[in-house]
Amino acid sequence: MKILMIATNNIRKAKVATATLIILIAIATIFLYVGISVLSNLDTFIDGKNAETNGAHFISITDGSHDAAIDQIYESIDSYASSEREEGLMSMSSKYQNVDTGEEAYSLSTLFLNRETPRDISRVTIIDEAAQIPENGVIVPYVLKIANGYKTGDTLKFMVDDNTTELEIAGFYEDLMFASPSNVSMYKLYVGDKQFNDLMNQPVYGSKCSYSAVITDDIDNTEAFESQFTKDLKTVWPERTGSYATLSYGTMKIGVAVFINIIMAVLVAFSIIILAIAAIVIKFSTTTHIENNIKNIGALEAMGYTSGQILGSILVEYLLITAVGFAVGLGASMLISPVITNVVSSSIGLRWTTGIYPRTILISLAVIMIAVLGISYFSAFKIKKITPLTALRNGIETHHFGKNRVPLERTKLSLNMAMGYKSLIFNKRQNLIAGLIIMMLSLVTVFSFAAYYNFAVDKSAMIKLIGLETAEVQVTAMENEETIFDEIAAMPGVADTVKLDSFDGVIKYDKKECGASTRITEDYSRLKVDTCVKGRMPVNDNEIAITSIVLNKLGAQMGDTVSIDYNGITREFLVVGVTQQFNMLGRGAAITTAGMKKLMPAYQEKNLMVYLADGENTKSFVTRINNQYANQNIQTASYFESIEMMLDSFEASIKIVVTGCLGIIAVIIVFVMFLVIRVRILRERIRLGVSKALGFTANQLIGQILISQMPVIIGASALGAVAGYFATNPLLALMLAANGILNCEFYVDPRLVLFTIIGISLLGLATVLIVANSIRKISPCRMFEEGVD
Amino acid sequence: MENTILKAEMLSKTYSNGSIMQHVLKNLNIDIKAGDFTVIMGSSGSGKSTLLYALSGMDKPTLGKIDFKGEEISKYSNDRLAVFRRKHCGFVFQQIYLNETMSVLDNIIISGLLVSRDKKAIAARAKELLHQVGMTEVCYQKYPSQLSGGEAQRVAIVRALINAPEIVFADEPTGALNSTNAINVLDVMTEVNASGQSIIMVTHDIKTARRANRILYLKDGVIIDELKLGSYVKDDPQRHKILREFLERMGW
Repeated sequence: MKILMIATNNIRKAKVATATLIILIAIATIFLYVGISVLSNLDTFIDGKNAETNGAHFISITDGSHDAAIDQIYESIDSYASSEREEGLMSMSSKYQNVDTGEEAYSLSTLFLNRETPRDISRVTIIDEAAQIPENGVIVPYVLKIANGYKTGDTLKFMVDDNTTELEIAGFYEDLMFASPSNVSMYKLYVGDKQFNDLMNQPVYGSKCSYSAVITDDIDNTEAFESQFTKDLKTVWPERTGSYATLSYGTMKIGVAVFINIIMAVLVAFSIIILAIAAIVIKFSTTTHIENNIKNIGALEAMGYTSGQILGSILVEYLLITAVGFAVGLGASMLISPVITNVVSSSIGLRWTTGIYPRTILISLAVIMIAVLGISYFSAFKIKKITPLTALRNGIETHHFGKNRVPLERTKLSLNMAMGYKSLIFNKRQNLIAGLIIMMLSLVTVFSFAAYYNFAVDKSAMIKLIGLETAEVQVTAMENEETIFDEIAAMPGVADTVKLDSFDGVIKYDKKECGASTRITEDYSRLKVDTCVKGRMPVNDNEIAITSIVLNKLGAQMGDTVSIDYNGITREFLVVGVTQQFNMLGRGAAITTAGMKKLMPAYQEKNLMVYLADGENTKSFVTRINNQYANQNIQTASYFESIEMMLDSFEASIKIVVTGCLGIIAVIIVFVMFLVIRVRILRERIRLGVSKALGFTANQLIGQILISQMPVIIGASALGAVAGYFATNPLLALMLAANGILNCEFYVDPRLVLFTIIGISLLGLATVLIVANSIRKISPCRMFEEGVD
Repeated sequence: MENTILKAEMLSKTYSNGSIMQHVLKNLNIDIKAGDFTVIMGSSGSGKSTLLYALSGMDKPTLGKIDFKGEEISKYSNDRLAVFRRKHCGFVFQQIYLNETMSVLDNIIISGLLVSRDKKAIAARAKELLHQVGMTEVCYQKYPSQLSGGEAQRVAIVRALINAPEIVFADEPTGALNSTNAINVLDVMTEVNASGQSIIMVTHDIKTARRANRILYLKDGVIIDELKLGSYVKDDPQRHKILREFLERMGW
């Protein structure tokens, strides 16, 4: 009880430090609790969501030419339980535009299904269902509501070439397999019976397809099901030209979670940084508290309190502060749950519900308590070594015996400059601490700005990270490929073309095997995006470059020989390079066209990447191609635009997270500077009072504080920002290492670095000026009469 | 001796703490002549220090006016008062209040630089004054914590004198010193006064008060009486007797 009294008394005396700590602990709690709760519950949440609608474990979309063989393959796989097949319409070169949101048209493939077809697998539960679904009503993925702001009743233009059909949004559905176009660049849309038949009867909109959904007995091993299916399908359908997509639950689950997992990992990392800052503040305020109250401590010890009791009172003080900060943070987490719901939902494309997670609360509390109490204990431990007598004699008061670095007799500095500089040197420990905090925050600011710029403003680095080409147009030809591709290459407005295909390969090494999206092109040096991070891309027909994820799974490395099994033919390839890519969950490989011909002698390139000249309009170029080859079996897509569109779904989340982080950084800087200056004024109250008495004006004293503080703020923010400039890409690579990313090339605009330095410096300047202004109001005699706080 | 240097008329100081008003000084009138060594005495809480700080421009009176050489300083802004203090006043405190982070010489030069930019001249005068108060060159680069109480107070006196102020305000300058050091400090103060500078000093100590030529006795914020003594003569038993009788009359 006595200890509690001393602790509450200490809290009352150090209001600013207490408030700063409560805020820091509250912010750390928000980040830690939100981060851990999402990270630890996402998996169960997705499984639960999928179970609600009996969601498919595996999906295959084909042209229907091999339905019987596919069903046989299904049944031959041990984990197969049941499947459903229905007819659909596949539109590969469709474009969309929501007329009501005013968005620009964008390209995305579409699978139309009949809403009225009875189905038990991936049942459709409509969210925000229209009171009466119109004939042209369409049920669209939930991600369009949460990330793109679509509403029930909006008009959605569905366009293929020059043909347009207007659909009315009649509701939204959730389905992990088609949750977000960032995962599968395809929409699955449900339309009514009449609309479905209308579309099916107009070949301009797409081709009929066969959509089958499978349930297995082992939801945790759907990737193995997919792997077996792919392998078996190749034996009965080697060219697989009519196979549009195969999706497994496991792959899609990892895919939708990648981005939000990264965001949540960033939040947890940020909470650790804030805890580190809180630790610095605790160390700072504990030392200050002991120095300022050394006589009181001595008096208490003289009265019979043990040093253990006094140390205990400090621990109780921080225990109370932590409890309050944690409660505030937890309450704030509940209050901001709509924002978190929004961020998570728009990233995974499923309706996330933020709940109360007792286990996560306990984990967060334990982490924060251990951190705070640990650092408090070590900071206050020196009390144990102080005897009552030394304490009463101001035993640990700091005496200065150092070299006089700025003798006023000889210095060329003006009086205020000299005084400010002296103060800077004398307060070096506090300045170092404040500098470290500002440096860390400055680094995080540059990182946040860079993340926002590369995700939301200029997406090219992000696209490169994903591992895709930056061609504006992609042309897929099913016939006369050579002639068509040569003619397109010679068209005006075309800067360059590269034939680039890919196939689902199974790479084997030793006794292990791993599926990889394997790219094929003749000359990798002609690609605009270099994904090679180690070694080189393949040049000869027996060479292969493989992503680090696949190499790790195989246990192989550069210089090893792996094999690819394709349609019964096995060929060996020498690993000459390591690549990286974010798409296909980092599972990729690259061989040359000549290498592919060793696996499939009749291989012919079907895909052409078209790079347009500057100023060339993608839309009009696509129209030109479609008109010119109207009678040929080709598909044209605005490739780059559709990738940018995919990334748009992340933009809202990134914006919220970055804005939140920057706001919190600003608050922390203000509080830390407030604490540093306030404590300094309290500690130097006598000196300041005497200075005023001797004739220093308030402006001179404020100026001296500015001179002693601003070099720290400017220097630390500059160091942090420059470190951020150089560390952004290594840090990002570190965070994405689990996704096989070894090297990032995010653009960090030097202007942002400068902006960060100026911004933080101005924020620091304003805070210092406001806090130091209190000197103005205090009369000199009151400053030193009241003594030190 | 007859020229008035500092004059306070109807000086009042009231502190308020919520609804509680504390009238520390009540309608005081004081006239300080150039070269006076004035001592303010009184029991604890009588308003001695408040009066000293009000007269020196460190604190503003609630009512009344203070003139310095005919100019009303009680109207001055805080910044103007700071300039007034640096040019015309010197201060010596009981707790000494030297800047612990600065050397002896810097503690003195810092005050000098507020008035003049001639660092060499200021340093030379500081050294000369230090020599006068018995501080040797060895002490120049020492820090306050390396000095004895008496040495530190002598440095504080030099700091107060560096700008050759017309008035030196001293708030119980010997209060924290042992008797030997106290005598040394008072000797310095007496010499300062002998050189023509006015001194206004607050003290509880009769031996200290003996140095003054004028004693003001304060009670409940009012000067209830004053005693005028002649110039200080060391070991003058008569002076001591008169002072003792005066203080006894005051209820000391």
